[in-house]
Amino acid sequence: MMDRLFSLRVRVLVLVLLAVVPAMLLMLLSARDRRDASEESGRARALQLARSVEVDYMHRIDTTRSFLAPLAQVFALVPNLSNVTQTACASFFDKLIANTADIFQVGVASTDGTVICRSPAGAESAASVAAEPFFTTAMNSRAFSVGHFEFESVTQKPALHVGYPIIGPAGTVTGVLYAALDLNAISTDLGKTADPSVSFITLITPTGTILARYPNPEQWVGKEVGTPPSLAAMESGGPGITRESVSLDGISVVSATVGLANAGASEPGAGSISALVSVGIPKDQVFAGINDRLRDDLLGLLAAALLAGGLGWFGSGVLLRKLQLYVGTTRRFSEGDLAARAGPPYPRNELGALGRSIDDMAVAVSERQQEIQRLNEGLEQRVADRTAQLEAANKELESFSYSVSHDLRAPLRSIDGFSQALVEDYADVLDDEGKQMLGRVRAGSQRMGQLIDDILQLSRVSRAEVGKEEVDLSVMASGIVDDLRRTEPHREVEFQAAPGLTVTGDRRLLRIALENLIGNAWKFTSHTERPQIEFGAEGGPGKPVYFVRDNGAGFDMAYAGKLFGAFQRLHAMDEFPGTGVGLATVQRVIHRHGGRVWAEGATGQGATFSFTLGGSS
Amino acid sequence: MNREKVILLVEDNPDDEALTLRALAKNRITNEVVVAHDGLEALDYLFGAGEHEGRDTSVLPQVTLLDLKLPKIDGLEVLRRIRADDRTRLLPVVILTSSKEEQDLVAGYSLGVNSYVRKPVDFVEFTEAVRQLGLYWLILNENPGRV
Repeated sequence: MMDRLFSLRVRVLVLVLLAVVPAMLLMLLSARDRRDASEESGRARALQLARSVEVDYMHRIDTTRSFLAPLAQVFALVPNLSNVTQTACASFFDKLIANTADIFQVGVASTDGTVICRSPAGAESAASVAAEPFFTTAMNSRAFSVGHFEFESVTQKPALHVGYPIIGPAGTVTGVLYAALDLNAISTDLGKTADPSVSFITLITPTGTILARYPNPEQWVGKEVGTPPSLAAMESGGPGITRESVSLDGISVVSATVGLANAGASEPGAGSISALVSVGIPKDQVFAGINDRLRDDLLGLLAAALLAGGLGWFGSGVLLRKLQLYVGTTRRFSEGDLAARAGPPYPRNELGALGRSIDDMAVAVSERQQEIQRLNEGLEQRVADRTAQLEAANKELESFSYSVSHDLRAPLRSIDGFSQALVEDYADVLDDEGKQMLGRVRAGSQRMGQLIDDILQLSRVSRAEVGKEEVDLSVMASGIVDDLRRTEPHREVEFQAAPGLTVTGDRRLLRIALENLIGNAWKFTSHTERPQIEFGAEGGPGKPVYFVRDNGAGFDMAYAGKLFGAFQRLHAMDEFPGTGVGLATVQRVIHRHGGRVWAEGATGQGATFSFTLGGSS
Repeated sequence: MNREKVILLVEDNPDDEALTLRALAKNRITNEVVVAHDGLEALDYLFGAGEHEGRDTSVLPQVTLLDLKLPKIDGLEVLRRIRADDRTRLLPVVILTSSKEEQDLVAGYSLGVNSYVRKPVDFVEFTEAVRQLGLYWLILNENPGRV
């Protein structure tokens, strides 16, 4: 019982778990969605930042162009650039760039690439810029050109050189102005523009040389890190790509990369990319809110599950105590404690309804039990009353029998006695017919006396209590035959009794029965030539059938049913005298012993009376 | 036969009284027969009371033939009182009655009756029974009080 009640608790916990698991799955799913969304927005932000760097870069190029354009107009007025005083020119250039942050070098070269003068003043002059891409492009295209990123030969600063053709009044190119943009300045500015969440901003050449970087420019600028993996995608013409990667510092990031077009190139496409800008945002940063929220959600869910489980556990404890109370109550009730009640308070739920209905049932059953008890008492009273009435009736019957036995016989004695007195005293005045008549009077009164005796015996058999004692029927039958032989010594009857037929029953009643049966056999063999009477038993020891058999007058089986009725006779009085009460008495004795009696026979061929005794051993 | 001794017959039915007297006569029993018609009269006779006031109670009947169903005091009560009194304690009493009820038989013997004879309807049998009674109680049996 306890185990099953305990399983109720387990079920509550299982239910809580079942409720928690989907909620947890939902949380994880939604966290994944949000993570995807955040990654998306992280990529977008990285891309936006990369573009703003691109815009900034383009702006710097434009600014440099605007710086060089008027200067080229001025130099166009110089008839022969070779005549420019180098020192004066260099000083002029120094002054020009003193206020610019980006441009750290300005120079002018002749059409053959020979550097005429350049800032800073006093620095050793480089021989020629004829091979420089910005120079050749400016010469050929007669337009502003952007060269490659490189480390400037004098200062070893990362630099981007741009060229501007000087076109004279005759329309011919007379030289090329050029400037070097300081990429370190760009790095510094990147640090200024970058928002603190950004992991890195890197400017890198297609061949893998880092031009500018935030943070730690001093550590990374100028390093060769190999061809950026995003270059291939970039060359296929995309405006920019985003991906997840690991930064040079070893941080997992969401990054965006944008290609910087070569300003001098006529059309974009393969080879036109002069540098790549990569911006990375740490994944931790991107997913920070989501991870925190997922953690909070899961903790909340765990707390809710623990709370629900705890409430279920202790709540079911309350439930179980009530259930155990109800189980105990019904058990006590079924074991006979009719006063057993679950009792209030009844919880305001189905369990309470159960408790209430258990008590209602207990009350109803108790009331019914009391009702039954009351009825039983009434019944016992009635039985006692009836028994008393029956006893009174029996007593009445007894005194009636007593009276009959006494008072009915007295007049019969008078009739018989005085008839005899008449015959004796008045023999001389009575003729033969008169004497014969008086003889009939006497016979009648004697027969009535016999009838009274027989009826009294029959009623005594019905009333008497049936005793239980060992009775040897064989000995009893022999004794009865002996009595009969004494009464009628002239009769010669062959009698056989099987020995040792012992039964349990009432000796007196059984003797009455045997007396009647053997007496009948004795009587109905009186006209038989060699009369034989046999007493014995047939059948197994479990249910023996006793019988009294004779070879006397027998009877017609057609009347077998009438044999055991009182006053039923199958023979004429003068043939075989009798009252017709004997077999009725036998039947009553046998019935009172729980047995059965029946007769078989044929006219003139004897009769067999068989009987069983319920209590026979 | 002892002709001095009376026979006390306690019998309320005059027919039975006549038949008993006839049976005694037929058996040539000539003792005087005193008839009491109810139990009280029988006791009065035995103890010298009532109309038998002054009778010599030391003279007891040879035998008392006692019916059971009697007016006033019934036969069993008469027997009980006879056996309760020292004077009559040993008086031979024969119950002579119609009843063969077992309860009467048992009650009679337990009260100390000497014999119990049932009056048969057949007068011939009745006479035979009286003959045997007379033979035993009047001729063969010596009254113990008179030895």
